[in-house]
Amino acid sequence: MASSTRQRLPSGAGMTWRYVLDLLPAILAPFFGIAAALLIIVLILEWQGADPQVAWNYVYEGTLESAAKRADMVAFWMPLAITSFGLVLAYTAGLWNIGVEGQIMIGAIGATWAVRLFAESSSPPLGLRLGRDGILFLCFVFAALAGALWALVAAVLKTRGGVNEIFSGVALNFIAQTFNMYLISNGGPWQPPGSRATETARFPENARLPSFEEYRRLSPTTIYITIGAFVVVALIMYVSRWGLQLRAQGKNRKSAFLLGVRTDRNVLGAMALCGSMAGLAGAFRVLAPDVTKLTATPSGGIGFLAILVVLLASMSAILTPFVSFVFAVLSKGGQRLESGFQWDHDLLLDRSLVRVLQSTIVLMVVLAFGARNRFFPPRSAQPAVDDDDVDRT
Amino acid sequence: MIRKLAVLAVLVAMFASGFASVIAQDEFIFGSVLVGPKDDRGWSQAHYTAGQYVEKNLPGTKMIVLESLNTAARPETTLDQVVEDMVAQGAQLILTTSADFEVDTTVVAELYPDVVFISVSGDDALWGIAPDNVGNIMGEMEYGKMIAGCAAALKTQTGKIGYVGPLIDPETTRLVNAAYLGARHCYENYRGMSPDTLDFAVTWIGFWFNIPGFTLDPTEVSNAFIDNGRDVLISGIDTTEAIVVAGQRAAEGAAVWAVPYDFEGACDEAPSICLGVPYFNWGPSYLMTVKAVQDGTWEASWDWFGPDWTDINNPDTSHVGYLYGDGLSDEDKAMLDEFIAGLAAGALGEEGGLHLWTGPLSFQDGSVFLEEGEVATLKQIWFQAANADDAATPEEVTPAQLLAGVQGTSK
Repeated sequence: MASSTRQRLPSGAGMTWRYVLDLLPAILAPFFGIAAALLIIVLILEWQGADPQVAWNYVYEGTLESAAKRADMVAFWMPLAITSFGLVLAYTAGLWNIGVEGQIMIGAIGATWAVRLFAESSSPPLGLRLGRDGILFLCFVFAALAGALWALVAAVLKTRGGVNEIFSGVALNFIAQTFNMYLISNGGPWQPPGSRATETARFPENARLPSFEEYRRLSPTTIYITIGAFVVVALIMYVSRWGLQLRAQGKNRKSAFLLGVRTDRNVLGAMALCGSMAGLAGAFRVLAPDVTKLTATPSGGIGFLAILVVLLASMSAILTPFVSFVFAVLSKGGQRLESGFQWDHDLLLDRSLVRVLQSTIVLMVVLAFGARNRFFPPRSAQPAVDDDDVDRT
Repeated sequence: MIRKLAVLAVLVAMFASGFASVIAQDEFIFGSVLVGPKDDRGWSQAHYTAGQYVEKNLPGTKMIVLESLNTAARPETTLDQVVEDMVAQGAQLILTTSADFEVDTTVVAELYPDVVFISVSGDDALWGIAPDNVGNIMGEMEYGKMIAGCAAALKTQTGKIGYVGPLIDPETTRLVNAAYLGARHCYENYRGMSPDTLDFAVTWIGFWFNIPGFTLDPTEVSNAFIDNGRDVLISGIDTTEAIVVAGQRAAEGAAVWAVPYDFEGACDEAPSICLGVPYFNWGPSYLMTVKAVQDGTWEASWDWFGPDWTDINNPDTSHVGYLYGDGLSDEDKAMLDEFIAGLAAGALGEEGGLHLWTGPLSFQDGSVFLEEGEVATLKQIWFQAANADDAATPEEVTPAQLLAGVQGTSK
């Protein structure tokens, strides 16, 4: 549709100029959004009595300044990024996978189950006595399968039962959390006897991820897996026909179906892949070298954060690593900002400030996109203005 | 002359600068890691104010705090990272103030053998399974809870008391049982009722405080208790929902009361229906610890500090206290005074004192806790298990249970 519009444009320099004019709002919108967010953040900090320059120094110090802090930041970035990659598939296909939080949790439980079966048990299934690599491989397989199966529950409810994935997702998150609590609290089957903490025992040595020698909390394995997941998602989105189908049914499921796209099968496929990547994120969380146990809230909201990432990245696979990086910096830096002001300046910032700052950025960028679409609608979107189904944020 | 003056000036300058650097080095930094917000009007705030008490009473000390360390509030941070930051900041003592940090504290402590760790409410040092730089501190809150139970029994009109419990472990079970024993005693001796007609129920929300979607909502639990005719709520969680709900329901005309927990100022949420608060006063024990670490005399130990029976609300000597609330009449207060005097006499071993941990007591499953006339040992009270003194490892101790007569689940 867009190309047919452009064909009528004058050729040569005029066309290039028009093309740049078209693109300008798309580039400027997020820029204005981030600028507005920064302004609001500076005002909030000033109002709280915190010097914004000092605040930025703390964020920088807590995330990027030293190699050790960068390692911690990357350790948090990886599960967030891989979850976001999976969500790109689901959201492109028009699936509002709110259940991703539960899928991370079930993935964490799956990985822990593999540890219990193959590393802690004296009689592992099938008599498999594996070394560390084998055990860890099975942990990731279990986590991915568990996450995929949990996502498939929502997918099947949608394709067979017509249940909206948002509602089933909320319910499945709740069930996952309750199940996790059953396992590790109040003398549950996975809580060590006599323990008072809501968690499993620390995993044995042969179920621990290798970590960098200097940065004991960061494991290279999680980085490799995340890069692999990125390659898979990028190939699907930019190379494969399946990616095209997902886009088509994301725009309009009924039309796609009438044009011969097997929409139901694609719902199952996209959800399963998304769930498996969320499951891997859950495995990263419990296998992290400074955790090595199943905790009360293994995800802790990373799934919801990933949803914001994907929305901000406009479901673009290429942008997702960068946006998730920004969120990882904001999360880790925010904590340093809070403790820095308190420890060095006796200035107590409210602990919810960090969340306010994050939300301000999301809100402002989304607002900017909305304003762009309202006042400078992208040419390709113009013919669809009357279509209520199109979401242009 | 000028040369002498110059030498003198240099000496003075050297001395002054050396002195100044000694002062700078002398600043003693201690870290405090809180599981909840430092202003929760409960468990975490009690620890936070205790740190301030140390800063005030021992010049040259400085507390650095990280509040709300739990994966729901801070998914990006682990205790390992927090301790690293605190040690980098110069902390020589780190207080990890939740049962949820117990395992991680022992693991992290091995990485920093020169830093002292206090795992609050834990018992690793008791078993000798923790590194040498990990100690435990806890207050004898069971006395506070007995007083709370007594106050509830004095007040209840329906004979039904509701206890909002956190998660189930030996500590929380011990505190519910203590409140139950206090309630039974006062229901019988001051109200003249048969203790077997007292209806005492606990509902566990699943964690130390509300995490939406993850625990039961303590506000709903409190409302459900009142809907079921329970007119006194006793809180066992870190936060103030029970007294807040009771205050709201009382404002609507219901005759209900509440006993909050943990923090001295917790009654402020709804003063008129507050029957008083059993609270922790961590200040004195923290002060002792900081002084011992400074002197180099600190040694790992498992410490369970009780009230100062001459004045349980003495801020400098009593480790647990009970502040009366406006919901108590003068008559109630007189009876509570007498009850507390009885507990004091019992704890001090005087003639005719009260020992509520005295047999016959049995657990919900019918097993015997204490035989007729048997008085519980310290370990039996701590673990709420008959075999606590015989066990060589934590795994051998029978899991704690609620006493027979308490409604609610033990596991």
